[in-house]
Amino acid sequence: RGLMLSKTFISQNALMNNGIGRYVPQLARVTIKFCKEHGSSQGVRRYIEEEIVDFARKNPATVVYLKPRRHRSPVLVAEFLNGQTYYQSLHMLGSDTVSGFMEIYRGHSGVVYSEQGKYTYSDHPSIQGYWNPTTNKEPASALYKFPRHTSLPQEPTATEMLQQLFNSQQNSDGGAEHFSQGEKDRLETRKQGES
Amino acid sequence: DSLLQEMNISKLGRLFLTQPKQCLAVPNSRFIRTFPPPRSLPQHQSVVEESDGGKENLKKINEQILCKETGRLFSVVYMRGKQHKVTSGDLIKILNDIGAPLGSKIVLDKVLCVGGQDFTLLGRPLLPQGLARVEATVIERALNRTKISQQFRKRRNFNKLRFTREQYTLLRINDINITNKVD
Repeated sequence: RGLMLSKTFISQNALMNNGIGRYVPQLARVTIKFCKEHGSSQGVRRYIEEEIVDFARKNPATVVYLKPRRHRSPVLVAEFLNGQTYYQSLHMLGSDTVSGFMEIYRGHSGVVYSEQGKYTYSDHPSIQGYWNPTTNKEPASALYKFPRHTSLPQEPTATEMLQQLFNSQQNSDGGAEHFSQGEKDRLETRKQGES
Repeated sequence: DSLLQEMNISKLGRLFLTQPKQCLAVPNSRFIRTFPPPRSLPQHQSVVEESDGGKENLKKINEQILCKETGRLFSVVYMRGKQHKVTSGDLIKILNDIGAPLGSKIVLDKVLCVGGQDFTLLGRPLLPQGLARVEATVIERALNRTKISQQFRKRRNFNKLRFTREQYTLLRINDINITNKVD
């Protein structure tokens, strides 16, 4: 099962637009098969005594079946709305672990056991349009005639933008207002020479 | 320097020269005016100058927001150390247990960026809280497939096998809304 791992997209986890209007729990049926006497089902038996009724009440969308089978180790069979079945062995597990597994399958979507490498899925991946080499370029660049005596126009570099910023702040009235008190002190000490 | 003079960079810097704000509104037209327009153009062609008009653009953006004519909005959302670009109706898988119960509605509060077809609002680094509202539903809380981490050194009887199944959460983004005007 681990060697022939398929790859699926996470769109398989949310079929029928689950979650857009309303969230629909995907776990349809849970069957717990256990033995009434054998020690491997002890945790399962305890879970059944204590917690399973609460689980069934809290999850009205899920049907819970109990199936006692003699001389066999306990198993949890989870069946989902998309038809997938998962078998989880509960052999020698305590009731805490059993309830943990029930929680996991309660929140599972029933997707096939697979590798899901992409963690995003979108039906509308681009809103402003996909980038192509002519976006953010001047349309007049189509009319250029070569050879050119000067280089092609370029956007200002980060350094140039910072220089512009600094110069404008220096020149504008109340340029000192942009500085915090600490920055002003530091500038003064620098002007005086570091003392 | 001569290059800069020739380039005649018009008003690109204006948005940066104003007082530092938490939010930067960028209209999608690029206002880099470079060379003067060519002298001779054929009849069917004409030069259309892209105008900057920072305040006019803000007005237009706010109009769109108030009349809800922004169209489909996207946003960049920060979640557990990672950023996701997100629109309404799409899915995110987060490799963690968020803590939210199954089926619950969540508001993703750390929004770095929101935009529509005509404009983008960029936060520095986050947008002011409450400006953009990203709502999501928790669809799935389950375990990833088993991953094996093994340490093996040969001829030394050293073989450690560890099987891990990490919890993940699947979120469905329901809605993205801009609630307030932009300053």
